[in-house]
Amino acid sequence: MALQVEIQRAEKLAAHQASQIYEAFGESLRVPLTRLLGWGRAAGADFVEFFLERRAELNMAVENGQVRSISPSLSVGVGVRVFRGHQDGFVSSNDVSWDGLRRSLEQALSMLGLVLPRGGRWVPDVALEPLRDYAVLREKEGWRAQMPSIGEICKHLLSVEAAITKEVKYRQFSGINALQDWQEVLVASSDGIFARDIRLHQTAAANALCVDGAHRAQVAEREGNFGHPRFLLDLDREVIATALAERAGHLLYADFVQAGEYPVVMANAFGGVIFHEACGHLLETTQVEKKTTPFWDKKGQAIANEALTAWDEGLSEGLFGSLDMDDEGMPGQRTLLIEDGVLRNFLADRLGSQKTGHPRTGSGRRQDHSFAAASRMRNTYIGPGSHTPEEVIASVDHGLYCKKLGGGSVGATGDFNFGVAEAWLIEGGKITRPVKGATLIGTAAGIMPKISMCADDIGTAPGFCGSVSGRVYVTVGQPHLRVEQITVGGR
Amino acid sequence: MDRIEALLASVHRLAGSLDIKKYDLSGRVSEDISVSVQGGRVDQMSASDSIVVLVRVWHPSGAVGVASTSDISEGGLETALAMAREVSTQAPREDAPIFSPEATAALADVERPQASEPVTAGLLAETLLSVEQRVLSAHPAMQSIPYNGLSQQTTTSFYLHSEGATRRQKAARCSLYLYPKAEEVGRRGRMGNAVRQAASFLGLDIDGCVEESVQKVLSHLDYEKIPSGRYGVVFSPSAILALLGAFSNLWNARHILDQKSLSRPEDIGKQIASPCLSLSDYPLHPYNIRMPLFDGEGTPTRKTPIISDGQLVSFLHCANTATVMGQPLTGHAVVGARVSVDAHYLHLQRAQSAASELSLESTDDLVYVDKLTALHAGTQALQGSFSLPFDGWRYQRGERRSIEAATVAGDILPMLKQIVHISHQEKALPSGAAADVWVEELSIAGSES
Repeated sequence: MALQVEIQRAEKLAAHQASQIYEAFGESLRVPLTRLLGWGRAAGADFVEFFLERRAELNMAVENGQVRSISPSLSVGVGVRVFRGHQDGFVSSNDVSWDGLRRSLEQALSMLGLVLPRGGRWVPDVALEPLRDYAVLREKEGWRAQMPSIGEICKHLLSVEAAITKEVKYRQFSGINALQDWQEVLVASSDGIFARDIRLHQTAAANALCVDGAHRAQVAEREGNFGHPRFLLDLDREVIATALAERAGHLLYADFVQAGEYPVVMANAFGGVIFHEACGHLLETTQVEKKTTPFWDKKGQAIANEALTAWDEGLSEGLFGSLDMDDEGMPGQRTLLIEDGVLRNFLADRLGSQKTGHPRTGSGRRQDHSFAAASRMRNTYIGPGSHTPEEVIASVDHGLYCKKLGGGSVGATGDFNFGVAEAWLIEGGKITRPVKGATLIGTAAGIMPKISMCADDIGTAPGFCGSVSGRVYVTVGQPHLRVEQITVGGR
Repeated sequence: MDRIEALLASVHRLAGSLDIKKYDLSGRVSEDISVSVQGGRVDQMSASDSIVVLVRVWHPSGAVGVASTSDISEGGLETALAMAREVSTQAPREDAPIFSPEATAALADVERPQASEPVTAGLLAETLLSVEQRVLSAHPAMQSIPYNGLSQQTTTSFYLHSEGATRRQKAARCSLYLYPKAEEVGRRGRMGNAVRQAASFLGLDIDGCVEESVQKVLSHLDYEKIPSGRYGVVFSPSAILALLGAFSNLWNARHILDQKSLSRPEDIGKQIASPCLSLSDYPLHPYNIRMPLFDGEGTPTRKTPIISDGQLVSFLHCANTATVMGQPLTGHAVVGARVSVDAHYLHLQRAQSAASELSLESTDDLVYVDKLTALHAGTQALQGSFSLPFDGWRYQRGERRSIEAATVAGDILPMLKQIVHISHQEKALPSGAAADVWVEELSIAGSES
């Protein structure tokens, strides 16, 4: 009888503490989550994980001298994941009440043929670690208070857009979109993880459309940051306006590139999207477990030219893909992917590690609570080489200089492609005239040995990466580098 | 009182207590269940129960503030309303949204597909495992189905405003997608794909999806390089719909008013495509599973001709753009911080006056583009140009052979005028309905290495 009373008391306490969820994710959730995790284990699950999320986003758009939109968005939710052997069930919900958490767990268990223990049965709680609170450890609690007001941001965005209007010739349209994304997450899992983090991502994308008769040029610039509350007020209007004006001026009257095979020099910073698409995705265990990457059995073997060393990490201050812990509660890591052309490591989340045997790398990421975590890139870049950028360009007699790359993608056969936002011809070792309409296509296994020269000017750029666990913030990076030959789609 | 009724009642009450006079509310409640399999085992089973609500509050000046939330507790809704009211004090007055004059008009009375009872994850898993086995046993070269999924979703969309509009619609959808991969020794891995949707699990064309995915991937096993050059090109229904979708600014009234379009307001009546092409948006198309009865502002949806016999005849509108341009409502509003416009279900047809007759079998040399990829990277929507990788075949003297890797490039406006033929046979897809579209000539870049 005493046990029954104790069980009822504990359940009431758990429900009560879950009802305090909006105060803050943290210690108040220890009791309800230890209880639920215990129930999940007692039901027969090998592993149970709760991912709780609260989010406040603010989107703003300024166009042609006017504030066009201000859009705040609030969300709250939970993702519950249950493993049994190599099988997993995942349930997400916006209901983070005690009943909601319990219902989600019940549903996830039922997918694996498991049921919650009957009422009245004593079930041991899961012992969670002392709360590992990166929001406190890294002094992030104050970020929201330091963020500028909507009015301040709009005023600055208007000034940036005004500078674009002034600088860009033949401008038909110009605008700037800004995003603030504040996210609080808490991970509790049956292996004892109990960790909380706050993330703040901000980005601004400026763009312009120039039209002169039949000539049209569409240009864009993006900046992004992790963890600087007043980042949007630091956007440099002159730098952004000048970059857009120069690119638009080059591209407005540019000829289309002639399709064919070219040696190519990729500029630094966003040029790193080539490595992200052509190789990075193929080093994620989501691909390794399906054997949809040509590299799945190549660990320890040369897969790239010996000029190439590449990293993926979450530790660099302020970079878009940085994280103090991943979405499975693992602290941030730095992972050597390729060293002098030899494949050293894959990127693994918890399930990917279980399925492939490769160690976890703090790479379990998800867009939000509605996605199960998967192995994803963070800040991914090719390390610097020994050449100067000028030497790399001068080494090409007739080729293409990809100064600004657009987005791209890679398929399950390893075929990749990406658009080039700004390209120039290289003739006689010199950059000569701009061309437009270039798309680069190839295969990962084919291109990696062809990256033959790396310069010493590594740069990074923010971006978004969409994949199996949704859209996540990433950084791409590289120095100037030479690719011996690549197929260029054009006219 | 169900969940949505309770939500609506809460918002009415909270708006009253916050002294908010004019507002509207739209949103969606969804329940999903999905499975994927790998190598004879269930890879993942997932389910979600989600809600998103968007509130708009009108300031007495006419400016409109907006906020969205997934927290439908009393506190969450109150926060969203208060936030929208706060934003309304800083929002632009120019071009502010208005209530749709048709938000209380009668909705179309159409027969909608019958949704079946919800199915269990177990049934979906069992079905997909059997599908995987069928696909993998179809040919020795079949390796795996790296991307696959079988899911069921039920969604209830709703809209109401403070002057009495109340809309609500429930829809169900079951989807199956298969992307099998095949590989032969010493050759590149090749993929194909097929997708099917139906209102109910029982109505899903599983056999058709299996057969199409297998046939496609096998047809790509025998591949060859294609020399770069100019070729006659035929776009499959899915390829042409994807391409048109990437250039939808052509008929998007919001983008046209914002000068973010290849069209201008005065282009109505202009010949922008070959006379053999007609294009409409047909939300209530019998094969459109979603079949939305109203748009984000509560305006009833309807069939809207966009291009008739090559002539641009209408743009797609929300209430604001229709008012500004003095044109009829079309029911295409997508509500957000700024009301945008989007098509529901494009329907590309051969114009009645078209007389051309062409067939793939009788052609000398052309390229059939079956599936375009990386549209986000390869289209310059405001420049009007595209350079896109594709899966497809080369037809030479009636024989078909897969193309190893290539891109197709061109400019959308000249291309629309270079359409020389549209097949008779239409195909209804989840994204729209269309027939094969023949274009006189486009640039193809093939891989030579």
